[in-house]
Amino acid sequence: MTQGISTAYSDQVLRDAAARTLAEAAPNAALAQGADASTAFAENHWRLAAEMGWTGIMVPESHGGLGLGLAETADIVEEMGAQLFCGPYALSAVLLPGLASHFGAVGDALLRELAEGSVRLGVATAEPKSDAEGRVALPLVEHAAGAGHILHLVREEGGVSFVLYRTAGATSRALQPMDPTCPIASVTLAPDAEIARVRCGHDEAERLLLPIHILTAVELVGIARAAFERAVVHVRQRKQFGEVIGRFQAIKHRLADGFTLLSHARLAVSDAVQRPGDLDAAQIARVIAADAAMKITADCIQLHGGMGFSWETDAHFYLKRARRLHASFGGTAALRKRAGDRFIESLLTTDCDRLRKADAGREEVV
Amino acid sequence: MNALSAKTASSPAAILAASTDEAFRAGIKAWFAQELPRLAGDRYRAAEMQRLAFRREWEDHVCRSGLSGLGWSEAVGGRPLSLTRQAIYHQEYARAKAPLAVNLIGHGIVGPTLIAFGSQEQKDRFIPKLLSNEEIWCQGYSEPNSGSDLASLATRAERRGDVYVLNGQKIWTSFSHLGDWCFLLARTSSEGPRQRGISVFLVDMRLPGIRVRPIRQITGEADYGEVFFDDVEVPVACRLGEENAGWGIAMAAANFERGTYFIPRIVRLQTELEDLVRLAATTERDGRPVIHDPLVRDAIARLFCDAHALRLHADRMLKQAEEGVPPGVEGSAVKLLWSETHQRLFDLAMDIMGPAFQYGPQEKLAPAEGLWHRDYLWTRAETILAGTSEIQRNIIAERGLELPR
Repeated sequence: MTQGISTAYSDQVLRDAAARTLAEAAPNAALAQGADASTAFAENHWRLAAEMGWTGIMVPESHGGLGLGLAETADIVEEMGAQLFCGPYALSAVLLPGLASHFGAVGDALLRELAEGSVRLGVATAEPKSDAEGRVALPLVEHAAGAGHILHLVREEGGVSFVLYRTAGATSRALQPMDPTCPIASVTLAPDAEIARVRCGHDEAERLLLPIHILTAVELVGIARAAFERAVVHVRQRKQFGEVIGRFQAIKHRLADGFTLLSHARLAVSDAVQRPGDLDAAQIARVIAADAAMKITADCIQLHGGMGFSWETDAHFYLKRARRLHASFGGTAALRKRAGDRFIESLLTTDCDRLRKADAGREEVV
Repeated sequence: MNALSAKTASSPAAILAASTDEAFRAGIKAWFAQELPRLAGDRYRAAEMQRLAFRREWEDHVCRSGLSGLGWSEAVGGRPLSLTRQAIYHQEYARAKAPLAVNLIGHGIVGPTLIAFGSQEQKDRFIPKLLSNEEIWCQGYSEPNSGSDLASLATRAERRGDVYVLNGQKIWTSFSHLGDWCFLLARTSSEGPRQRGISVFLVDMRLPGIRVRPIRQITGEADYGEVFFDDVEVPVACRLGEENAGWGIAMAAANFERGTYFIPRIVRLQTELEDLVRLAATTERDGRPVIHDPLVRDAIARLFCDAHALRLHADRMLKQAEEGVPPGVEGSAVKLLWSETHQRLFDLAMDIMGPAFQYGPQEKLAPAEGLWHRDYLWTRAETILAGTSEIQRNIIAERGLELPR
């Protein structure tokens, strides 16, 4: 139907296995009935990821992991997006191995536990506050329930600090999430909760976050793909005015645009996965994938009509998940700005250099 | 560096025979860098080189230097060249800012179609004059009442002995006023499905009964026109393929360029985007360069992202063509992205212009002698020609997503 749209980044067997396993555990029906992701699903999904060896996929073999690369991870993450996996997978399985060496002995231990599946990272996405007793209060933490550790990125003058807290002794309160597949909580940490802190310059932070941008893009493609397939199936069945609505041009053109966006996103994301060190490739892939997912998941609701707006039709889960990833780690707009600024500055700098050289040449002649 | 100290570029024959793709690229790049300014002389400016007379002069020079028929077999006098090298050729052509060719239909569509479907006699007659660019081709497809619905075309060709008698009208025919020959679709039967009553004819534009009326475009130029056929007698030998088999030939012809069609356009878009940044850096508004406007920067960043996606599509389509994978609906997706991105690019250029927007496209006082203005208007054609955006979306939905017709 959608031509090579599930082509693997690394290995089709791995990809298909991930798709099957995750489809069996997919939370759509239960969430649509009103279930809460923060409880049973998050636990089950994490256990599944550990059993499959996915949590240790990028952990070196010396630490009990599989020592595989970004492409293999991408195959799993795309299916996690498509099947609404509930858990902080990319952050734990990908960012942690990258950061571990900076965390010293703490990092070593974390990697071993990650490979076993016993480490799960919550991520603090809003600025912390300190209370009167000097305890750190994190107002918004993703996947706090069940997380032994919480990671917080602090953007500062001249760089980024990655701060790792342990949750032992913390008090947390579950909050209502916009995205039901991503539980959130406010957490007040114990006084000695900070166990590691790494400060990086902007370039180093950018490099550490590159795989996260790439995998966020990959996950967005998975979400977009699932929503798109759902919409196509629906318009082929739903009848109005005595016709299948997929026969109407207004519907066709909306889906044609979705197909076009999805094909751009797939290409950009594959390219970024294959060139994991390239800043432009990673940032642009995330921008293009977010644009595609935002449009396609909204269209999926629109094409389902009145039932698309109901909680019990699962179309809204894709929109909400896409919206969350669109905003995560500084947001897509900031990445577009950085990529655009680099392009503009590189061009104007080369022009200046050329002019300077031309001027120098003239002086020699004189 | 002055012209005297520059190294002389190798001959086209030597360049084509380069042992590696890198050497081929370097060679062809040097050739364009040498020949284009040499031929243009004091016309070596973007606006001047876009004039039709120079475009023809340059195309004749390229063809007669031995750089035509790239990828065609030696049997027809062509120069066999891998798709990768054809792509490199088109990339460097666009990077050199060489002007668009005039005989695009001839080299891109008629040549490959003749090689695939033509009789030996037809190949012998037409291919050499294509290679030397002595004959310019136009394409007689659209009619006043048959635009997107091409199969409804009504121009009739009636067989009478050794000739077909042609009656009807074509419209929006690019280069009809320059065309020596026309690659024409006409109805040879009104029975059965509409697509099975169409034949292809190679029509000499100087035959009695043919009248061309140029149509002025929104750019003010008249590069296309109407063609009237009034009892025009076309020899039977000028029918391409079997009678009533024209639709299949027309569809195949549309596919010939698929692998490399977008490459020059996408490279051109990239260089235009770079020029746009320079335009914004040198245009001032309220005492400061427009490039500092955050809205302009964001629009540029969006175009940069789309240009990136286009480049990846071009690479992939080329790779597929080389592997012999038949083109799918991806071509339609790329056409949509390319044409719509290109329009946005020139819309932004007009925004950057500010009051200078008001200059007409032929006004020499306009920035870049009106080239931005001209191309801004020209991009409106790109969502219409070669299958409108609406038709592309239908193709994606019906062939790609298998939605009911």
